[in-house]
Amino acid sequence: MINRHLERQINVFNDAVRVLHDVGALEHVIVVGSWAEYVYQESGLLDFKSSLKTQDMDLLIPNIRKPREKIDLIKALENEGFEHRQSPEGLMKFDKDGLIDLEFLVREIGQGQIAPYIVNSLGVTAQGLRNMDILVENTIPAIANGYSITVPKPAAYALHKLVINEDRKPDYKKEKDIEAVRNILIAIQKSPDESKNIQNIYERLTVKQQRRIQNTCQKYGIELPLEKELINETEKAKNNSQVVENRDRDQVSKIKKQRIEALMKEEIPSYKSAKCNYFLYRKEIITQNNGWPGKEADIEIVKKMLLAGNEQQKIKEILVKHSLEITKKTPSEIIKYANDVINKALTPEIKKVIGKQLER
Amino acid sequence: MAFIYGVLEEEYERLQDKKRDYEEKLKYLPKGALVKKRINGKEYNYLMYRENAKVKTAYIKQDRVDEVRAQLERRKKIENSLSNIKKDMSIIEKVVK
Repeated sequence: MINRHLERQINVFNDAVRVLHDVGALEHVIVVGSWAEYVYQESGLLDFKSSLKTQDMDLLIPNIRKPREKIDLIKALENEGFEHRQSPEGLMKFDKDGLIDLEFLVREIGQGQIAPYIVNSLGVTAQGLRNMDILVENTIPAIANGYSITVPKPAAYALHKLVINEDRKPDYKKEKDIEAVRNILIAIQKSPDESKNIQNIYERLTVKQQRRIQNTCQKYGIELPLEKELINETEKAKNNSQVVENRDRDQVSKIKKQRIEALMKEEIPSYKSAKCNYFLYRKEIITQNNGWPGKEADIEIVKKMLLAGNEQQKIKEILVKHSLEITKKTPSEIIKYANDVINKALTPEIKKVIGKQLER
Repeated sequence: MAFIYGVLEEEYERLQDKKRDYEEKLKYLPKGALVKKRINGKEYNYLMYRENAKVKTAYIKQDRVDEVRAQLERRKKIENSLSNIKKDMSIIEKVVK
């Protein structure tokens, strides 16, 4: 029964790959997650049997601006019988026959954002995740069921799982990933190419990432097929960077403390941080009105923040984060509220002033 | 291998979510089948469906026929997905018990 179920799941996976290929989107996505392991097995890239496959088929979009020409992926998937669903936060999923959930991921960079990323070129929304660079920078095409599918190199796949292990929640996901890594490492050791890859990729990782890998390997008793010298270097770097990190941390907390003290005395009301501006203006309004007057006040604050040079996206994030903390509204209602406030704040006069600021 | 229970629980929750979504979608999709009736030599389209064991018909204007047909097809697909989801949920329930 389970084999038949898996067969049906594989058929849906193949349907999704075919649709992506036919509309010209397959070359712009990387198959990651447990379905990448299926591609390793099916393409013969690794001599192994893939571990547990879940319902989610994760597609990583390395560059949200590509392809340049717009593709109506939603329509193409719906024509193939995929049902389009959306989470309250606005994240899209595509399901076929209740067997597979197709989801999109992108690299989260900078401060990140709560709301899903909009991928205009494909007309879909995607979840932002950190540490995806390891996968994006180390890909390989694999031929499975007649299609060339881009997947992370198996070595990158395993190292990535080791890097993110300590952040994985809930705990069973950590163990599930470790099982997958053990399984894949056995196959990597059998392949001279992949053994070389693991060495090369490991060397190019940041010290922080290497340290995370060493910690995870130590915790679960995993021995990576790396040259011993390389591991010793990581150990040395680990000790050195710990000293630097402690020093930096002390310095940062000192500066933070000074800023907060200054803000408390209102010595620097024109401080440009969006978060500080928001709370300063909020405090002013509450004091003037003996309470919070409502949406109009938020619009006034946003106007002031825009004039102070704060970015729209940043303002939206702060509004959303703060509203999430203080109201019982759903995330989608909050996002809608934030969009509405920003739109109302962007009067022609404000737009004109911002335009002039940008020119300068 | 204890992590398998965690994976199954997560899959079960995912299936429950999908089931809820689909059941909600079905509320807004018509059920039944499109039939043609000839009245006074002219053909008219009707939606034939069952309500509380009674068979009912509703007249469908010619310009809405394609739309209703597409909705009926979508309903069929969702019902098929729901049936698979329920089967998967029952398998997980057996394994976890």
